[in-house]
Amino acid sequence: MIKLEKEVINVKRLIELIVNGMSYEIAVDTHRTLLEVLRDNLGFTGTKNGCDQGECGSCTVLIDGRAVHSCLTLAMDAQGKNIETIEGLSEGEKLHPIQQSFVDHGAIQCGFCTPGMIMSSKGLLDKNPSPTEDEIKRGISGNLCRCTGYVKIVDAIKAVEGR
Amino acid sequence: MSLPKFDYQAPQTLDEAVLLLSKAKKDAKVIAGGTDLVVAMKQRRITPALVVNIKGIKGLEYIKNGKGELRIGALTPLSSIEESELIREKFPALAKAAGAVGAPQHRNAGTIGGNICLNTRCWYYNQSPFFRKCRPVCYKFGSDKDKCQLFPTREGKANVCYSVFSGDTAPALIALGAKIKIKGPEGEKTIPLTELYTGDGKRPIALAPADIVTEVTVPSPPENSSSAYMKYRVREAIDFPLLGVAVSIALDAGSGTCKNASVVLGAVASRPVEVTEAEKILKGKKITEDLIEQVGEAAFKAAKPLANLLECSPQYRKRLAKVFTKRAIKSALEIIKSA
Ligand SMILES: Cc1cc2nc3c(=O)[nH]c(=O)nc-3n(C[C@H](O)[C@H](O)[C@H](O)COP(=O)(O)OP(=O)(O)OC[C@H]3O[C@@H](n4cnc5c(N)ncnc54)[C@H](O)[C@@H]3O)c2cc1C
Ligand code: SF4
Ligand code: FES
Ligand code: FES
Repeated sequence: MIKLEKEVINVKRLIELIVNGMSYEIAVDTHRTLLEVLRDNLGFTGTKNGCDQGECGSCTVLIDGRAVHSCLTLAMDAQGKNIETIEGLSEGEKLHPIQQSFVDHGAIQCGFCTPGMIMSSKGLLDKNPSPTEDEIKRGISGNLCRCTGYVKIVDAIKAVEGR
Repeated sequence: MSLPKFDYQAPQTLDEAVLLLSKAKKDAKVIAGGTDLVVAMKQRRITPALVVNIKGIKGLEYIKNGKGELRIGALTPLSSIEESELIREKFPALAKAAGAVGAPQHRNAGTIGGNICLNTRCWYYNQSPFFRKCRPVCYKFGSDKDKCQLFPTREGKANVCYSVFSGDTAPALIALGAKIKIKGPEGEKTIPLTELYTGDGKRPIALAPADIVTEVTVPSPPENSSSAYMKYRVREAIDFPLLGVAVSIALDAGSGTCKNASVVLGAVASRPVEVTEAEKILKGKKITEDLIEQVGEAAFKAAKPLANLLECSPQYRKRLAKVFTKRAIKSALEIIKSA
């Protein structure tokens, strides 16, 4: 039989996370991922947990402007960094241009992949406002969608207003 | 799947990090991007008591064109390497290999240091605890007495682990003649990257528990030279390589004959495999279709993949080593010609 856990004392630390421009001071266990803390401690459930192993991209957030997997990031490692989640995009009822384009193009079906897909798109478009189709495909290549077949997602990103 | 519990430290200096690691002995792990280690910990393959985050150490993230060499800090993200104009132009194999790792999210978080120190893989070992719970522990994961579950040795014979080294940048870096700087309790040393790999699947990386890789250096390529990297995987993104081939070639400016050639294969053994025959076949000669065929044949012989990755057969990977080697050589020659 394999030994699954070691006896380590539970270590809680007080950390500061900056999410969508707001600062949150929370006590977290050192073994918590950023995904767990975002969803369970801070209530940002827009960020989804698909595989929890870096395979699907549904947990994608931006850290200092770069798209990363929050399921592979320790919450401790994200201290003091600028974390952006899907909740930070719209202004009240007004959707972000990427969100609006996804809606307009039918790039959302079940919607589970959408937050991650949009955060990857934002990471791409912030750096490269007019990507080619190939660059778009590469930009979202870490995000799996089981519904749309990707065509409408690529169309939506191509058509983002003001890109 | 939540992580096992561990204590956590984020030292601000290298000395502090080395001290923490040497105090904790074997039960500590360095975390950089975490894209390999966090998965291994979630799957309870590695359960360190202490995790030392080295990302807070200043001055380990850079790409510098130094005197006769390129210097890359160990914490440099793979995406910066992939995007660097300098590396794309002068070290195309490295830019290609860095850009072929996983998906954009892995390359944004994943570092070059973590990529070269990547653990080896096999379909039996890289599984959830749920999968592994109902099976015997294998040699790599368990004690020296536990047998390899894929290729068990006969009673009384020493165990061997044949898990695969699946890093993308290491073959490219070795083909380019890279060295690495290591900081440990005894100070600093520089070794050729190829010496980082033991070839033993159970302990694939030749680092002491408190050693930290701080820098990768690559000699500037001579005139009339180029390099290429080709990777085979089932999907064009996310997947680890089923085969990687890195080639670097320098030609003589006057005669056009081959001055140096290096071919390195990835994902066919527990370490990157150098096809030493390649240089013998090509050196001093004008590179012809026939010689390229011979190098391809040498790569076929040097590649000894086993049935330890699920997506395709070892026979296929072995034959592909020849095809990809030929294509990579042609691609490098093409770049030299067009320059
Ligand atoms: C779904 C998925 C797909 C992937 N696909 C690929 C792929 O195609 N190709 C590929 O090469 N990799 C792939 N990876 C693995 C990984 O993302 C990359 O190899 C990445 O570069 C690892 O770097 P890191 O900084 O995240 O390493 P970490 O996870 O932080 O560390 C990896 C290992 O190296 C050690 N380490 C890290 N930095 C240092 C240092 N400076 N000194 C000493 N030891 C150190 C750590 O202790 C650990 O054992 C994939 C991972 C996932 C989850
Ligand atoms: S090849 Fe190595 S990791 Fe795979 S089952 Fe055998 S001992 Fe374990
Ligand atoms: S939940 Fe993080 S990649 Fe799938
Ligand atoms: S819309 Fe359902 S997974 Fe993408």
